[in-house]
Amino acid sequence: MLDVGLYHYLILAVALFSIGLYGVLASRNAIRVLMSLELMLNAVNINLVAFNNYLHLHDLSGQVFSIFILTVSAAEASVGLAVLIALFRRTHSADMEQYSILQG
Amino acid sequence: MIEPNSLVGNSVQFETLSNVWMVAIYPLIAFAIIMFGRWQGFLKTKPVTAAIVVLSTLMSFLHTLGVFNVYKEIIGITPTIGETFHWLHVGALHMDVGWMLDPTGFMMLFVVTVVSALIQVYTYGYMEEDPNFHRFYAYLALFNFSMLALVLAPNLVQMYMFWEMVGVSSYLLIGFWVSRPSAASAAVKAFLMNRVGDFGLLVGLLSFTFLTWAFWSGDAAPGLLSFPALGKASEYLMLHHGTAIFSIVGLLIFLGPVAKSAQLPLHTWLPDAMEGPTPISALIHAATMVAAGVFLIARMYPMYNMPGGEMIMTVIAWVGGLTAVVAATIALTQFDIKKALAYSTMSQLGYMVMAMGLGAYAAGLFHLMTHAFFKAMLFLASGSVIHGCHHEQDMRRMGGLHKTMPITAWVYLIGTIAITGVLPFSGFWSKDEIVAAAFSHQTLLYYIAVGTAGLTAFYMFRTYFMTFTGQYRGHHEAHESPLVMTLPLILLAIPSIGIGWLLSGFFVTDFPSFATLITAPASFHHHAAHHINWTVLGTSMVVVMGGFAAAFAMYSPMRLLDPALFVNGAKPLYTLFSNKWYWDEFYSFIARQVYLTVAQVSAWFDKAVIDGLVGLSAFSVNMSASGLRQLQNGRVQSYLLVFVLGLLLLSAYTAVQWLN
Repeated sequence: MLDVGLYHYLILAVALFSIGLYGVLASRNAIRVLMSLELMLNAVNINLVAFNNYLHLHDLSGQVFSIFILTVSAAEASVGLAVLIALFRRTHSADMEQYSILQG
Repeated sequence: MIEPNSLVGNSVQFETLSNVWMVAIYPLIAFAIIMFGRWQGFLKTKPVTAAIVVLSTLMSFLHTLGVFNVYKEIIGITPTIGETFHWLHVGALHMDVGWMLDPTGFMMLFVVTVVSALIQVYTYGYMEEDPNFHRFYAYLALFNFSMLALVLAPNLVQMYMFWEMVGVSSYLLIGFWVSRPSAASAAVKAFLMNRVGDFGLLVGLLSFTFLTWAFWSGDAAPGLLSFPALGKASEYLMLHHGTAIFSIVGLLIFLGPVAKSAQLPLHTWLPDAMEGPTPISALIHAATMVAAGVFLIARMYPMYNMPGGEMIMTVIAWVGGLTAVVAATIALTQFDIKKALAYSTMSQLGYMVMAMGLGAYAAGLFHLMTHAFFKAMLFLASGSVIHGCHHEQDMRRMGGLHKTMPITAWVYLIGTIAITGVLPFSGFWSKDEIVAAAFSHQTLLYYIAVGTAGLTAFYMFRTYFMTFTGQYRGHHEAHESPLVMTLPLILLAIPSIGIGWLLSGFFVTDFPSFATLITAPASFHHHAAHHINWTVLGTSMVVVMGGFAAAFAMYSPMRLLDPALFVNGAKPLYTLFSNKWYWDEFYSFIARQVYLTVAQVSAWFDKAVIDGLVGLSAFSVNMSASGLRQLQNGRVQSYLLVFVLGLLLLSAYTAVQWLN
């Protein structure tokens, strides 16, 4: 039986974060970008809970903070999806390559 | 913030004196009434307009008289009295406005108001037919305001403002007949020549202020460039910057009088200014405004006439002396009666400036005063002749006018005798003092002054004989001018005859003499009380008689000598004189050849080099922009990538730092 310690959680979080970052940077589909963003946020949540559990036992501030992040990420996802729908109506596409109207 | 800051004076009469600024305000009110009301109601009638302006000048005169009566009582105690208010604060400096009175200022106030009033009466007859009658009177009032305010100015800053104001009035009045191209260009010429001088004056004032900055700083310090403090400031300037800088600043300021008083080499505008109506030539270009230059020299005396200022004084004396003789030689050959009188004015102004340069303060100002009367009268008489001969100015088409215009002829004769300096008349007393001053200071200038007196006698009697004696050579019937024009002439004849011996202190001993009334501030080589130098008097009388005899021989009806003999005998000299020493040609050469060449070269430089550099910088910005524009592609993901890469770099750097 493997002994699970702080480092395992941290490695999991880094892996999850990197996968999410890669998804955000490299996906062409806007839905996938939003999903990858959620991965990154959850990687941070794992970090927070792990640190709280191993290093800061006398209170639950890390876990409370992760709850906040979940709430914010839900709000962020809804705003993001709303923007996405508006963009989709305009361009009839979910391709990130098409969303370049900010070009100078 | 207004706090009265009296220069001198704590007497009860101060209240009366402090209203003296009103002297300048009456003409300004008259100007405003006519300028803004000339199309309405009863102001449209010409007598009303003329009456308003004449009345304003009379008010100024009476007010001056009233103030003088109060001032007379304290004249021995406080020769200079004034009151100033802070106008601007610039750092630790403060500029003041206000008024200042001293005997010299009073003399100017009297001359300006008296001559102005008489000329404004005369103008009614001369300009009656003119469609722009009202505008002319409005300008006259504006000029009067500027000139009186210039005289009252307590510091150089305020004086400079009104100095420019009289310049503007002069410009407006020279170009009064705007439809004549010659009048318009003469006005522009007067303005430009004065601009050269006034630029020198401005640079002089600015450098004076800059170099004596510390002297004027502080609340207790006198107002910037105020006349009572000028002597101390000049000593400061001399002490801290030496004689060379001192002389340069002084001469820069002197450039103002050089242009305003038509001295060499900035004199060419004055003869052309005769394009203006004759009352203007009499008022501005003979009696008052051109004398403002001499007045400024008088106000600058604490600076010029201090130990170390000898260089400035020498330059002033020589400029005046050379102007006197050069203008007199040109006047010999003129056929236009007004041009001859204009060169005569220039020559007499040369005398005044020379006197100032020789340290003969009272003599120069005395000549200013007598000249103002008799030259205004001569110009008005010439205007009467021009009026009577139906706008003919060429003396070759006049002659014999003594019969048709007796009053004008007699008055002109009085003026001629006065300007030549024959014994009892006013010109003698003032000119004799100048010649005597030259005799005791500079032998060469003495010869110039005496020679010019001879030339003056010749050309003035030449104009008299050509105009009033012999046969009439014109085409139209000549007639005497109406009373409104002849009366001012007769009134001006009185001071032209009498003011000299009244104020010379030689015959009338119970009246204070001019030399005791008007004394130079901080005069270091002070002149003793006037006593007649018989050598000088005899010599100049002989020379004047010689000039008269020559004019009589050549131009009187007897025709003892033919002028053509001399014209052909001294051809090169005559050509030089009749072409005004080629000053105008010299200036147009400068303008056309030198200036235009420089302008073309700099135009090429501007187009090729400056524009090229500007174009190059624009091109390089454009190029780099189109390169950099590629970075902003509008894709959020690529921005994010750069952000992440930056973050990684930063983390790597921090890690390396931490590991070390």
